[in-house]
Amino acid sequence: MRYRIKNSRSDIQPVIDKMAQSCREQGISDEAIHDLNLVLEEILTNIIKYSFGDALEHEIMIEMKRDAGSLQFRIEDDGKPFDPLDFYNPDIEEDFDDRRIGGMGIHLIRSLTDEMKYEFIQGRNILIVKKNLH
Amino acid sequence: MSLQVSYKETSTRIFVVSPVGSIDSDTESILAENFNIIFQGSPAQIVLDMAGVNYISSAGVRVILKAKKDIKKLGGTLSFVNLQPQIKKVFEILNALGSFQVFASEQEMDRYLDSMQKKITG
Repeated sequence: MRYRIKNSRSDIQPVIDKMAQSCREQGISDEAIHDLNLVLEEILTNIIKYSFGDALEHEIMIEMKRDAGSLQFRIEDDGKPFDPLDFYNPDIEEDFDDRRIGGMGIHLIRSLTDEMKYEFIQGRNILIVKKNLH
Repeated sequence: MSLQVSYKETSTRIFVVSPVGSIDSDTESILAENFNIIFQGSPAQIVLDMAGVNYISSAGVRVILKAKKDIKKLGGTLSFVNLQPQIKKVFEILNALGSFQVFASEQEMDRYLDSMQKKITG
Protein backbone atom coordinates (compact mmCIF):
# COMPACT_ATOMS: atom_id res chain seq x y z
CA MET A 1 0.00 0.00 0.00
CA ARG A 2 1.23 3.47 -0.81
CA TYR A 3 0.32 6.80 0.64
CA ARG A 4 1.45 10.30 -0.18
CA ILE A 5 1.15 13.12 2.30
CA LYS A 6 2.19 16.76 2.42
CA ASN A 7 4.60 18.10 5.04
CA SER A 8 1.75 19.19 7.25
CA ARG A 9 1.11 17.80 10.72
CA SER A 10 -2.59 17.49 9.99
CA ASP A 11 -1.73 14.95 7.27
CA ILE A 12 -0.20 12.51 9.78
CA GLN A 13 -3.28 11.19 11.56
CA PRO A 14 -5.31 10.25 8.45
CA VAL A 15 -2.46 8.08 7.10
CA ILE A 16 -1.98 6.44 10.50
CA ASP A 17 -5.72 5.69 10.63
CA LYS A 18 -5.60 4.11 7.16
CA MET A 19 -2.56 2.03 8.09
CA ALA A 20 -4.23 0.87 11.32
CA GLN A 21 -7.43 -0.03 9.51
CA SER A 22 -5.49 -2.07 6.95
CA CYS A 23 -3.55 -3.84 9.74
CA ARG A 24 -6.79 -4.70 11.56
CA GLU A 25 -8.21 -6.16 8.35
CA GLN A 26 -5.10 -8.32 8.07
CA GLY A 27 -5.59 -9.63 11.59
CA ILE A 28 -2.53 -7.95 13.09
CA SER A 29 -2.74 -7.76 16.89
CA ASP A 30 -3.83 -4.56 18.66
CA GLU A 31 -0.50 -4.45 20.46
CA ALA A 32 1.47 -4.53 17.19
CA ILE A 33 -0.86 -1.95 15.64
CA HIS A 34 -0.26 0.34 18.63
CA ASP A 35 3.50 0.04 18.14
CA LEU A 36 3.23 0.62 14.38
CA ASN A 37 1.07 3.72 14.99
CA LEU A 38 3.68 5.09 17.31
CA VAL A 39 6.57 4.30 14.95
CA LEU A 40 4.86 5.98 12.01
CA GLU A 41 3.85 9.03 14.04
CA GLU A 42 7.37 9.51 15.38
CA ILE A 43 8.95 9.13 11.92
CA LEU A 44 6.52 11.48 10.17
CA THR A 45 6.61 14.06 12.99
CA ASN A 46 10.41 14.12 12.85
CA ILE A 47 10.42 14.55 9.08
CA ILE A 48 7.83 17.33 9.10
CA LYS A 49 9.48 19.13 12.03
CA TYR A 50 13.13 18.88 11.07
CA SER A 51 13.63 17.74 7.49
CA PHE A 52 12.65 20.77 5.47
CA GLY A 53 14.50 24.04 5.94
CA ASP A 54 11.99 26.05 3.93
CA ALA A 55 8.34 26.99 3.96
CA LEU A 56 7.56 25.15 0.74
CA GLU A 57 5.21 22.27 0.27
CA HIS A 58 6.91 18.88 0.15
CA GLU A 59 5.67 15.39 -0.40
CA ILE A 60 6.39 12.39 1.80
CA MET A 61 5.85 8.92 0.41
CA ILE A 62 4.94 6.04 2.68
CA GLU A 63 4.87 2.47 1.51
CA MET A 64 3.64 -0.37 3.66
CA LYS A 65 4.60 -3.95 2.84
CA ARG A 66 3.51 -7.07 4.59
CA ASP A 67 4.99 -10.51 4.37
CA ALA A 68 4.27 -13.62 6.40
CA GLY A 69 6.29 -12.66 9.44
CA SER A 70 6.75 -8.93 9.31
CA LEU A 71 5.50 -5.51 8.34
CA GLN A 72 7.70 -2.92 6.71
CA PHE A 73 7.42 0.82 6.20
CA ARG A 74 9.46 2.64 3.59
CA ILE A 75 9.35 6.39 4.04
CA GLU A 76 10.81 8.73 1.48
CA ASP A 77 11.19 12.51 1.60
CA ASP A 78 13.21 15.18 -0.21
CA GLY A 79 14.41 17.00 2.92
CA LYS A 80 17.88 17.49 4.33
CA PRO A 81 19.91 14.29 4.72
CA PHE A 82 19.11 12.90 8.14
CA ASP A 83 20.22 9.49 9.30
CA PRO A 84 18.28 8.57 12.44
CA LEU A 85 20.72 5.73 13.06
CA ASP A 86 23.47 8.30 13.62
CA PHE A 87 21.26 10.22 15.97
CA TYR A 88 20.69 7.23 18.22
CA ASN A 89 22.13 8.43 21.46
CA PRO A 90 19.38 9.01 23.95
CA ASP A 91 21.72 8.89 26.95
CA ILE A 92 19.40 6.48 28.58
CA GLU A 93 21.40 6.15 31.78
CA GLU A 94 21.26 9.83 32.57
CA ASP A 95 18.74 11.16 35.07
CA PHE A 96 15.62 11.76 33.03
CA ASP A 97 15.21 15.32 34.24
CA ASP A 98 18.56 16.29 32.76
CA ARG A 99 18.50 14.12 29.68
CA ARG A 100 18.40 15.58 26.21
CA ILE A 101 14.92 14.81 25.05
CA GLY A 102 15.37 15.33 21.30
CA GLY A 103 16.19 11.68 20.74
CA MET A 104 13.15 10.24 22.49
CA GLY A 105 11.16 9.70 19.30
CA ILE A 106 14.06 7.98 17.57
CA HIS A 107 14.66 5.80 20.59
CA LEU A 108 11.00 4.72 20.47
CA ILE A 109 11.21 3.94 16.74
CA ARG A 110 14.34 1.91 17.30
CA SER A 111 12.94 0.03 20.29
CA LEU A 112 9.61 -0.84 18.68
CA THR A 113 11.02 -2.15 15.40
CA ASP A 114 13.35 -5.03 14.57
CA GLU A 115 15.26 -3.62 11.61
CA MET A 116 16.07 -0.11 10.51
CA LYS A 117 17.88 0.99 7.38
CA TYR A 118 18.65 4.46 6.05
CA GLU A 119 19.88 5.62 2.66
CA PHE A 120 20.22 8.99 0.99
CA ILE A 121 19.75 8.46 -2.73
CA GLN A 122 19.46 11.16 -5.40
CA GLY A 123 18.57 13.85 -2.92
CA ARG A 124 16.02 11.76 -1.05
CA ASN A 125 15.97 10.34 2.46
CA ILE A 126 14.83 6.74 2.43
CA LEU A 127 14.09 5.12 5.75
CA ILE A 128 13.03 1.51 5.98
CA VAL A 129 11.80 0.05 9.25
CA LYS A 130 10.62 -3.48 9.76
CA LYS A 131 8.66 -4.98 12.62
CA ASN A 132 8.38 -8.69 13.16
CA LEU A 133 4.87 -9.87 13.84
CA HIS A 134 4.73 -12.66 16.36
CA MET B 1 -7.46 10.91 17.56
CA SER B 2 -8.51 13.57 20.01
CA LEU B 3 -7.88 14.58 23.58
CA GLN B 4 -10.09 16.04 26.28
CA VAL B 5 -8.54 17.15 29.54
CA SER B 6 -10.32 17.92 32.79
CA TYR B 7 -8.89 18.54 36.23
CA LYS B 8 -10.02 19.28 39.73
CA GLU B 9 -8.34 20.62 42.81
CA THR B 10 -9.33 17.85 45.19
CA SER B 11 -7.95 19.74 48.15
CA THR B 12 -5.65 22.70 48.60
CA ARG B 13 -2.94 22.67 45.92
CA ILE B 14 -3.60 19.03 45.07
CA PHE B 15 -4.77 18.52 41.50
CA VAL B 16 -6.05 15.41 39.77
CA VAL B 17 -5.78 15.74 35.99
CA SER B 18 -7.79 13.39 33.79
CA PRO B 19 -6.86 13.35 30.11
CA VAL B 20 -9.09 11.22 27.87
CA GLY B 21 -7.93 10.14 24.41
CA SER B 22 -4.59 10.30 22.72
CA ILE B 23 -1.62 12.46 23.80
CA ASP B 24 0.31 12.90 20.56
CA SER B 25 1.97 15.62 18.52
CA ASP B 26 -1.45 16.92 17.49
CA THR B 27 -2.97 17.08 20.97
CA GLU B 28 -0.08 17.59 23.42
CA SER B 29 -0.71 21.36 23.46
CA ILE B 30 -4.14 20.74 25.04
CA LEU B 31 -2.52 18.99 28.00
CA ALA B 32 0.24 21.64 28.14
CA GLU B 33 -2.39 24.43 28.34
CA ASN B 34 -4.12 22.67 31.24
CA PHE B 35 -0.80 22.30 33.04
CA ASN B 36 -0.17 26.04 32.50
CA ILE B 37 -3.45 26.89 34.22
CA ILE B 38 -2.78 24.44 37.07
CA PHE B 39 0.69 25.89 37.64
CA GLN B 40 -0.88 29.29 38.27
CA GLY B 41 -2.28 27.70 41.43
CA SER B 42 1.19 26.66 42.73
CA PRO B 43 0.42 22.94 42.87
CA ALA B 44 2.02 20.78 45.56
CA GLN B 45 0.81 17.54 43.97
CA ILE B 46 -0.42 16.65 40.53
CA VAL B 47 -1.84 13.20 39.91
CA LEU B 48 -2.40 12.22 36.32
CA ASP B 49 -5.31 9.82 36.13
CA MET B 50 -4.42 7.94 32.94
CA ALA B 51 -7.47 5.64 32.86
CA GLY B 52 -8.75 7.30 29.69
CA VAL B 53 -5.45 7.59 27.84
CA ASN B 54 -5.01 4.90 25.22
CA TYR B 55 -2.04 6.32 23.32
CA ILE B 56 0.98 8.50 23.98
CA SER B 57 3.85 9.51 21.72
CA SER B 58 7.15 11.19 22.58
CA ALA B 59 5.47 14.60 22.17
CA GLY B 60 3.08 13.65 24.99
CA VAL B 61 5.83 12.21 27.15
CA ARG B 62 7.74 15.48 26.73
CA VAL B 63 4.82 17.55 28.08
CA ILE B 64 4.48 15.30 31.11
CA LEU B 65 8.23 15.38 31.80
CA LYS B 66 8.18 19.18 31.58
CA ALA B 67 5.33 19.35 34.09
CA LYS B 68 7.24 17.00 36.36
CA LYS B 69 10.29 19.24 36.16
CA ASP B 70 8.21 22.36 36.82
CA ILE B 71 6.48 20.92 39.87
CA LYS B 72 9.78 19.67 41.23
CA LYS B 73 10.99 23.28 41.24
CA LEU B 74 8.01 24.09 43.49
CA GLY B 75 8.92 21.20 45.79
CA GLY B 76 5.98 19.09 44.63
CA THR B 77 5.59 15.82 42.79
CA LEU B 78 3.72 14.46 39.81
CA SER B 79 2.39 10.93 39.89
CA PHE B 80 0.28 8.51 37.86
CA VAL B 81 -2.74 6.39 38.58
CA ASN B 82 -4.53 3.90 36.30
CA LEU B 83 -1.67 3.66 33.84
CA GLN B 84 -2.67 1.49 30.85
CA PRO B 85 -0.17 -1.19 29.72
CA GLN B 86 0.63 0.46 26.37
CA ILE B 87 1.33 3.79 28.06
CA LYS B 88 3.48 2.13 30.69
CA LYS B 89 5.41 0.43 27.89
CA VAL B 90 6.28 3.77 26.25
CA PHE B 91 7.55 5.23 29.54
CA GLU B 92 9.48 2.03 30.23
CA ILE B 93 11.19 2.11 26.81
CA LEU B 94 12.25 5.66 27.58
CA ASN B 95 13.46 4.51 30.99
CA ALA B 96 11.33 7.27 32.51
CA LEU B 97 8.90 5.47 34.74
CA GLY B 98 11.29 5.01 37.64
CA SER B 99 11.24 8.73 38.24
CA PHE B 100 7.47 8.80 38.78
CA GLN B 101 5.34 7.58 41.60
CA VAL B 102 2.79 5.19 40.12
CA PHE B 103 -0.32 4.26 42.09
CA ALA B 104 -1.82 0.90 41.34
CA SER B 105 -5.30 2.01 42.36
CA GLU B 106 -7.36 5.04 43.26
CA GLN B 107 -7.54 3.85 46.88
CA GLU B 108 -3.75 3.87 47.05
CA MET B 109 -3.73 7.34 45.50
CA ASP B 110 -6.36 8.61 47.97
CA ARG B 111 -4.36 7.35 50.95
CA TYR B 112 -1.26 9.09 49.62
CA LEU B 113 -3.09 12.34 48.88
CA ASP B 114 -4.64 12.31 52.37
CA SER B 115 -1.21 12.04 53.92
CA MET B 116 0.10 14.79 51.64
CA GLN B 117 -2.83 17.02 52.52
CA LYS B 118 -2.01 16.64 56.21
CA LYS B 119 1.55 17.71 55.45
CA ILE B 120 0.43 20.78 53.47
CA THR B 121 -2.14 21.95 56.01
CA GLY B 122 0.02 20.89 58.95
